[in-house]
Amino acid sequence: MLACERMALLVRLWYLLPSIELVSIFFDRQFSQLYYPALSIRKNPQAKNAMPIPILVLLEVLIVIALSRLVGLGFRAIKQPQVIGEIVAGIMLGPSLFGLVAPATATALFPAEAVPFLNVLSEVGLIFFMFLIGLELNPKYLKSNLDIAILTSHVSILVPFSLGSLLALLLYPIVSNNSVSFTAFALFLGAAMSITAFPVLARIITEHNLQNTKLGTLALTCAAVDDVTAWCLLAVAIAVTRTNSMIGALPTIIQSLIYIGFMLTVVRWFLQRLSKQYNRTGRLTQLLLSGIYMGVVASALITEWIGIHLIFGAFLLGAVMPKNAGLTRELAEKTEDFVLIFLLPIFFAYSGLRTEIGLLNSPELWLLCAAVLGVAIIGKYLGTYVAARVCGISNREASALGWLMNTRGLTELIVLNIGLSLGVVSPLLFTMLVIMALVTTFMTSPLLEWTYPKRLIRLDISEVNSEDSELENSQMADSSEETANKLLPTYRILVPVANPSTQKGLLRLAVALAQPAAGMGGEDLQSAAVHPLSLIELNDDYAFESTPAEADRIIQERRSKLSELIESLEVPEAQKFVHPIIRVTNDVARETAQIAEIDRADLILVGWHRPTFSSNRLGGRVGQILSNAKVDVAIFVDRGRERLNNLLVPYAANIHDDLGLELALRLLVNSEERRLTVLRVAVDGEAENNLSYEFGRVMDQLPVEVRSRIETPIVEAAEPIQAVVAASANADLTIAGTSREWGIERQTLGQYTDELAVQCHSSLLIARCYVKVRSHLASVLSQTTQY
Amino acid sequence: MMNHLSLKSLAFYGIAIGSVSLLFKVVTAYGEANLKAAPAIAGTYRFDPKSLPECLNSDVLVLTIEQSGVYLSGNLRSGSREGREKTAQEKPSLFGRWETQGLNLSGAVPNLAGCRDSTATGQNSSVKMRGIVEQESLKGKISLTDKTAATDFTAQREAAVQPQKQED
Repeated sequence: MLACERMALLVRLWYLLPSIELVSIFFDRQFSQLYYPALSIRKNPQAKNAMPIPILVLLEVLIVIALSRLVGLGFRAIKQPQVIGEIVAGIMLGPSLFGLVAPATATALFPAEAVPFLNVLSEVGLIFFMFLIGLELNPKYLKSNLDIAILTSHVSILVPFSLGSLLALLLYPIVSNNSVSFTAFALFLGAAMSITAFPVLARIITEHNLQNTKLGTLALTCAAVDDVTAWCLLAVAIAVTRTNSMIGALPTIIQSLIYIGFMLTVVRWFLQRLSKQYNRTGRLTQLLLSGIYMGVVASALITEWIGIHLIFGAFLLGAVMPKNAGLTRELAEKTEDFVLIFLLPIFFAYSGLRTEIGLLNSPELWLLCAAVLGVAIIGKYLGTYVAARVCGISNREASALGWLMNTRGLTELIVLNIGLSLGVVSPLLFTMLVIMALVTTFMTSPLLEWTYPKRLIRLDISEVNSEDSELENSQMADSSEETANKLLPTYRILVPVANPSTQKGLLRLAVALAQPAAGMGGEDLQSAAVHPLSLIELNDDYAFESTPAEADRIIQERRSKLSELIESLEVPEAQKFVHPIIRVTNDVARETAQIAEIDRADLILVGWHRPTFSSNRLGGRVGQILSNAKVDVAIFVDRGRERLNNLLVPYAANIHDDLGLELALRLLVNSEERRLTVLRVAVDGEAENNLSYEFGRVMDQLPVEVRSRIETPIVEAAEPIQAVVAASANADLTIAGTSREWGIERQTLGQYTDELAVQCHSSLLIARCYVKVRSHLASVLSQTTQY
Repeated sequence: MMNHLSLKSLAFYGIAIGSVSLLFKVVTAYGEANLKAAPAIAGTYRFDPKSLPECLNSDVLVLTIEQSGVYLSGNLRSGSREGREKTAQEKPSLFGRWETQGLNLSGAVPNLAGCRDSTATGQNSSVKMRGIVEQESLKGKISLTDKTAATDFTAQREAAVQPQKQED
């Protein structure tokens, strides 16, 4: 959708709002009159039609989960982290939206009596979520750039903390009451400003494929150090709040340190023994799992008893678990689904029920909110930026690092809820800080894209990925066995490989298109490159597998599978011109198109696979690539022919058939054994389709030897498609353009018909030429057409 | 790894952390001494409504106040059994501020059946309250905005909204 169309839609929606409100009030009244007796337990819990609390809570949970998923998906569609959508869903269920629009229904569905039960569920969810966070914290992240990271992360805490304390001077008389000491208030506000959400940040980094870049590793290290320090600060803040003085908190702090020491030594030793046990048996038994869960709860209870919050105990246990890949991974996989899908949204809903955006009902309050937001952003961004620049990091990277560290998201919400429960933070301040957390997280992805766009990321790939030589610069820098006069590839084929084990034929075709076959001899005058592209799709935004460490592991696995596949082709010197690209993404088609553009690919060669919801071979993901990609695309329908020696090109003088013909000629030139038949079909005795002028010229340019292997018969037939199908019985590979003649045409809604693909006897290569927008009409008509 | 333990780095961290701690100490000292926040008056207050004007004169009235510093919001409801429990999301209909002279609340009373039908136009009438909190009671004046006379009232705090603090 164009930007102006989006704006028009928004304006239309805005004007619809009053009518929506009237409709909602009407339904609210009707609903509450119908079901109020059943839902209400205000009147008499013993009444026959009163809904028992467990049922009500389950109903609430159902609504919460459904809405979280829906809104989460919506946020993914606008390229934001899914977890932010879930937080917003929780807020929507509270007095900020649901309570505003349909107060009677909201009261009936979420009465005060049910809230404590939601609280219990959300505490349990929080404990296990913090355990998962601790599990993910991998010392591996701390291995590089440690000195820069420690400096940057400490400054990125000290600056917002100081600014937060100063802001407390402004806020305390306005939004706090005298049951809270100023010290506790200032400490809490400072801690809230210093938070960086490590989990959300790690996922953003993985999604942008930054985890192996200098920026990515630095950001992760900074955020990890930042996270741990901020939790310590929070623990102190909680201790001070509970005892209302710094001195009074000292015993609590000492006890915490003793406990941490105990966990890092005794418990860690014990857990390491346990993980050795796991390695021996190779599976996580229920007994072991129950022991670990009991440990999580016990640890949480201990820290609560000490005087810091439940979450620290759970986090600690996760952090001291041995970072043995097998045990940790299986533990995370077993725990995360239920926690992330069921329990965590309840926490967001519980938090949302306490968020009252309606409290900000005057301009001065919104101004105050803006001040809080400003301080938060300035503190984090400026602190990180200046520290990074002082360490010698480039301007752009330092800026990107600043925006990344500004992400507060989920961790901030946890801190704020604790503050609200303790009474340090009042409902108004809570709401302001929640808004701050959401806005700062929301702005990270777009600002990161703006300061550090993807094309720059490619240049920054560190030495580990030197075989990812998709850019000239990195190829130049690759100082391995290549000689100084190595030619840069002038023809690049991008081959999306969904499943390395089954796409041998596709890769073989790509190699055949790219390079002359063995034994052709001669120098590579026009060297070509094949880039098998393996995109790892991370569907579950918050799962363990989307942490940078895990993503790396999956990337290595794919890389080795691809290498195996390339080996199996038995093409000599494949490594010289076959360079795999492996990336993480959540939108395969869009990423493919982007990579094709950045890489300046000449052709995308994609394999056919059956899409989920239709049987059209050109629908689904292939169709998306056809729509998004701005380069020529060829779709390969493999029928398993080992050799591609007899080529058939049905020709009807249009640009797509021309492309098909060119590809066929390339194959022809690359191997002496190949023969080409260019088939023209005359319908009803019409004059034959003339070979286009272009084609004639190309034919003249070919060496005689090649021309001798080409035949150009003309066939009379009523239906061109059937003629081609008949001819394909004798061919190994048919190459057809996307034109109506051959039953593969683009329809009005962008779908392609695929008749030929269904009936063709041989393997089929469907060629679609990319034609840029016709600029003559664009300014006159509002639409643009694309072939 | 040894880099960040060098004298220069240690000195830097020492100075940075030291200065922030000093700043914090100064700020908290200033704040504790000079800054006063509003007293905690959030809670539920029960009225003796006999002396209250017009439609407010039902059997028992309950005022719930939510506080965020100087910003107050609240609800005035019938205190009989039905209306006893506060719902999770009851929209506050009274808004106001805490000033040094006391609290100031005004707004509609949609939860009081009597007041809803009182005016000819069928709109909710609104109330205006001013008062001070002395220990557990709230004393002040209340009036319906379309009537000029303000009546005195006294309300006793019931269950105050207390934060959870550690008990040992």
